[in-house]
Amino acid sequence: MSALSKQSLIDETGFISSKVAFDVSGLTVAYDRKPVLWDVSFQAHSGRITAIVGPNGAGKSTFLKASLGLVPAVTGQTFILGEALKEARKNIAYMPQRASVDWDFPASALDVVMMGLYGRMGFLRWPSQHHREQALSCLDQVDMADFAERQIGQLSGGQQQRVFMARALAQEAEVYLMDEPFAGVDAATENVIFKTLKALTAEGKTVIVVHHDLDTVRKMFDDVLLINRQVIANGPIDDVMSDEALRRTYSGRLGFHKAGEPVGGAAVQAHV
Amino acid sequence: MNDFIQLDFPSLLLGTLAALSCGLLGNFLLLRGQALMGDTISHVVLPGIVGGFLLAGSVAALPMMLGALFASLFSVSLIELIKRAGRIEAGAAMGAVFTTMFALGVVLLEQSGARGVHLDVEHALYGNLESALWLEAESFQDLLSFSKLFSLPEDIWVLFFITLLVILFIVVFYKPLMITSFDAAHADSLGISSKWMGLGLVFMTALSAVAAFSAVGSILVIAMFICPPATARMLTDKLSTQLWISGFIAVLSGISGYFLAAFGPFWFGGQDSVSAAGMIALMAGFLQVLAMLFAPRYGVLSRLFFKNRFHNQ
Repeated sequence: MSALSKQSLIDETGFISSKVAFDVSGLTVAYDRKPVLWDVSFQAHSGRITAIVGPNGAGKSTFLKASLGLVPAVTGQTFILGEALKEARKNIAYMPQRASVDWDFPASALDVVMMGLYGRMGFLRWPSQHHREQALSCLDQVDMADFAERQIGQLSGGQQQRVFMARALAQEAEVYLMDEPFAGVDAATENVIFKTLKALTAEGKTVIVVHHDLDTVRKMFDDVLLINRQVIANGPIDDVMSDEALRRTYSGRLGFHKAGEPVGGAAVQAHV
Repeated sequence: MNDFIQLDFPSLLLGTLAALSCGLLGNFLLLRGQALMGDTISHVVLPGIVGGFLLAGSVAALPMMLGALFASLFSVSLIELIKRAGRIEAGAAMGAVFTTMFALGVVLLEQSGARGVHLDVEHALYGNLESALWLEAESFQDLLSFSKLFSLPEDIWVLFFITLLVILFIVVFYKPLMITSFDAAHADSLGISSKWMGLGLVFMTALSAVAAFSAVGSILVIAMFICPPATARMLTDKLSTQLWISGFIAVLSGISGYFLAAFGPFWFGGQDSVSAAGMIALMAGFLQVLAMLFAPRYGVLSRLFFKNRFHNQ
């Protein structure tokens, strides 16, 4: 499979410059001794946008978090552009799910975007006019400049998601890891975020997106990681996203099953 | 006037500083959904304070402070342990730990009574603001004299330096405190450790809970942690402004609470003054009720008003 995917990478882009930017190997995560992720290895290439697809409870969000060391892993290593995680923090922009924070927090949209600059700013430095302008231009890229001073709780869900996108942009990273940026947003926001991500890949950045909508995967993404506790497939969408692979991802055979349902026998059918 | 500077001024200072240091830190406890943490720490320091007192055999500040810090760090680890081993949620783990630790403190306290030094249950619970005296002072001019100021009670000096430390902590760590409070996972991904900032906050909370302990006791201190920041949150949507307002509200509760307690009953023809610590907490609660009713954007009344206007149009 690996040889196949490299081949098609060359075919699609015409040159072999697309290098491995995000490299996870042997990632195993367990909660309460139950494995959530089992020996997951995954590579994402620069200049490409990858969807992480799998059923609920497949460990998609956990994969992002564990690969960045945000939740403890049993085993596993992450390299970003050849550097170990610790040295590569500045090259990562991670965007958690929108619902993971309290939007009543006393901050404006601009304040939140400024937080994207904190990683590079250093401890004692207070944000300057320059930082403000930088944050404003990031808000502008997602059409949110008019809402810069608005308290974040007064924004719509889609607008909040755009603020998160702007915060990620402010980090000027090489690898962008986004947890469900398209979940529950309006069409305009989906459009803006998609365009922004595409613009990033055009600059040679690497974009990895946890995605829940199977219908749009083919349209929006270059590569896919099919995951259900284990890796089912990873590579260019046209190569790996077969009906058979999807069925294996969404069926119960690989460990994912709802409580009360027998494993294997009456497997959960994929909605494909 | 001499009475005021000798008897009232030190208590006023003690109560106000206690409200200020706790009130400022409370902002971050509230934003992290850890209001109960202030409650927890203010209770678990009791066995530490009594233990320090029993070991040292005197009411010196340092051993009691060290005992309290040890007790709070021990409790925080215990809460983590119980959360994981007992598989229960954070609130329940905190509740289990702080009541047990507080009970231990009460039991120890009875033992201390035998030694005949004043550290009794009532003061541990409700504080003893009125016992702060500055008998060396003769007039207001002594406030400008360093040598006289040094004769202020030890409690006040300790609380003064801890309040300064709290302000310094918030100024220096403003950005990491803000980002870890808003989005811990994002902060961690930037290499700004939410765990260490959380521990730092717990440590500072323990420091001010201990320092405020002698002034307002371990129960009323919770009002100092929660009311000023909760009031301030109603009045602004900006964190830095919220910090300023909460500081102002804390000082206002401290001063107005003390004056009402010390002189209020006489104005109404009463005889004795009432508990100053209690009155300060009451004022903090009263100001919060005012804010909940009349705050320009989030107040109940203004929301009703705008809703009606919206409906009429």
